[in-house]
Amino acid sequence: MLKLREVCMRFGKTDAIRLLNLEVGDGEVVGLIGPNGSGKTTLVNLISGVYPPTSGSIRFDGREISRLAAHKIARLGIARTFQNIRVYPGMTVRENLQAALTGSPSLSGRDEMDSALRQVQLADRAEHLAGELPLPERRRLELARVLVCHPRLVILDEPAGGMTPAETEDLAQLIKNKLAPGRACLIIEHKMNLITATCRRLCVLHRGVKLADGGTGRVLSDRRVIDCYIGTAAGKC
Amino acid sequence: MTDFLQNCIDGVMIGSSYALLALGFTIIFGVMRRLNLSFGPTIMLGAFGGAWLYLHFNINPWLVLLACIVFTVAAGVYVERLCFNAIKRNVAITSMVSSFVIWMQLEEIAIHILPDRTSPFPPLFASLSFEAGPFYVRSEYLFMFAVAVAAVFAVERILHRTWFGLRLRAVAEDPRAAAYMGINAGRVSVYAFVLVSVLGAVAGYLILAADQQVTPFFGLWATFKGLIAMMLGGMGSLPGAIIGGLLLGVIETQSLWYFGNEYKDLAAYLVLFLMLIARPGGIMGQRLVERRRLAFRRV
Repeated sequence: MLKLREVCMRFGKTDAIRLLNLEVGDGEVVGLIGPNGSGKTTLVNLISGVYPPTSGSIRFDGREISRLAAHKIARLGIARTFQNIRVYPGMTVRENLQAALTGSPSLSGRDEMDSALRQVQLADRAEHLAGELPLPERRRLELARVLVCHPRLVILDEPAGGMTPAETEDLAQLIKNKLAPGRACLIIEHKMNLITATCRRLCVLHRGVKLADGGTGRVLSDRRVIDCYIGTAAGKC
Repeated sequence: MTDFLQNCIDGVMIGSSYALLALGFTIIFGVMRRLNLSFGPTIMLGAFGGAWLYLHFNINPWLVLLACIVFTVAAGVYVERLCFNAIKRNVAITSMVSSFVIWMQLEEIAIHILPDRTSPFPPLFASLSFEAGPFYVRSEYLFMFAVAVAAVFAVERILHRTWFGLRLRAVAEDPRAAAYMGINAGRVSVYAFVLVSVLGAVAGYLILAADQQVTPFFGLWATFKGLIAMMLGGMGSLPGAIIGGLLLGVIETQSLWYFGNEYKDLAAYLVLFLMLIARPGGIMGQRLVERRRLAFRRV
């Protein structure tokens, strides 16, 4: 479904991504981890069209998308959430979903919006301003926005950022049971309990290069990954 | 007391045209977070186009109105492409300065279309005067008021009941997030300019039809009146644009009656000055500013 071939991204003299190859298949849930500055968010930005890669190819369903505008990529069925939450704060929860639908080829109706809100436990907040919700609810609103659009690939950029362990556990269940079934997911996260609960495959980036890629258990026990990332980040997980 | 009330009626009628102009500024400011100084001149150019057709082909006033709308929309889209679409969102001052430059350009074009500078402008219908006791009102101002009220309801409905309105508000809130949700912010911006150009053209036509003449200075006049009305009512607030427009109209007619023509504009500027000190966000803008600040701070 998503194929990156020899993708490079250079900012000035810094190589943020170097010759990266990555594939995400239909219905596959892939975790993407790595130390800060390893190029994870750059990779997400390249896929979602924030900027084009310096070189290389990004294909989605066989179509080259590396030079497409962000809104055109979204319309192909790629949805993302943000490390820094980007809900529309001055609009109600329901209007946030409606606005997401206006840019989506999906034909979801009011019933489906209600269903999405129930799934993320925001049904009773539908008429509240998004900017007045606490952080975990705003994270869930972002997921509801993704759900109503029926994307084929979902990219979650640190979805558990700022959440307590209990909230992270709830989020993992939500991703596993509601978001992941029937679609491909790429999840960037530092919290290993969320990654192990949701992803069967794990890819590790280090200084813009893919360090390891494979089954979650195998990658997490890889000596190079432990040395570069897990060992140093263990205290935070 | 009768004079005072009659002035209030006149002020509300004239103020409804200011309200329409302020609506245009408010929508663009709300969506782009940038000031379009050439909004008035685009209306003036549209009016010159209509006046030119009227002078040379003696067309029906309704066709003049249609021509004003078409020319104003074309000029509005031109401004959008040149001053807003081509310039990144985070350099608002560049858009504002370039829209000022385009203002000069549009005035020059208008002078070339009709070098006489002052040209006749046809009213939609013959002027009548309606009387109720000691009060009276002219039909063209009553019509202007009715159009302003209808326009406010139409804009409110478009913004809150249509897909386009949702897209417009989404782009106003967060253009990048809107793009990642599949919304083409560039196209939304063009449609926003089309919407405000139609509003502006209608307002411009009604104002000029009441005066039955048009000059190149109308652009400057429309920009000043629209901006002052928007700032009085509250930047970014649609109800504020209406209230600001009506208030400006009442201030002008009262000061014209009690102090004379030379103090009319001075009184408006004085009230704006006091408003900016007491409530920098304007009458309706202050609550909006505080609520949004709170919402954005949480995010």
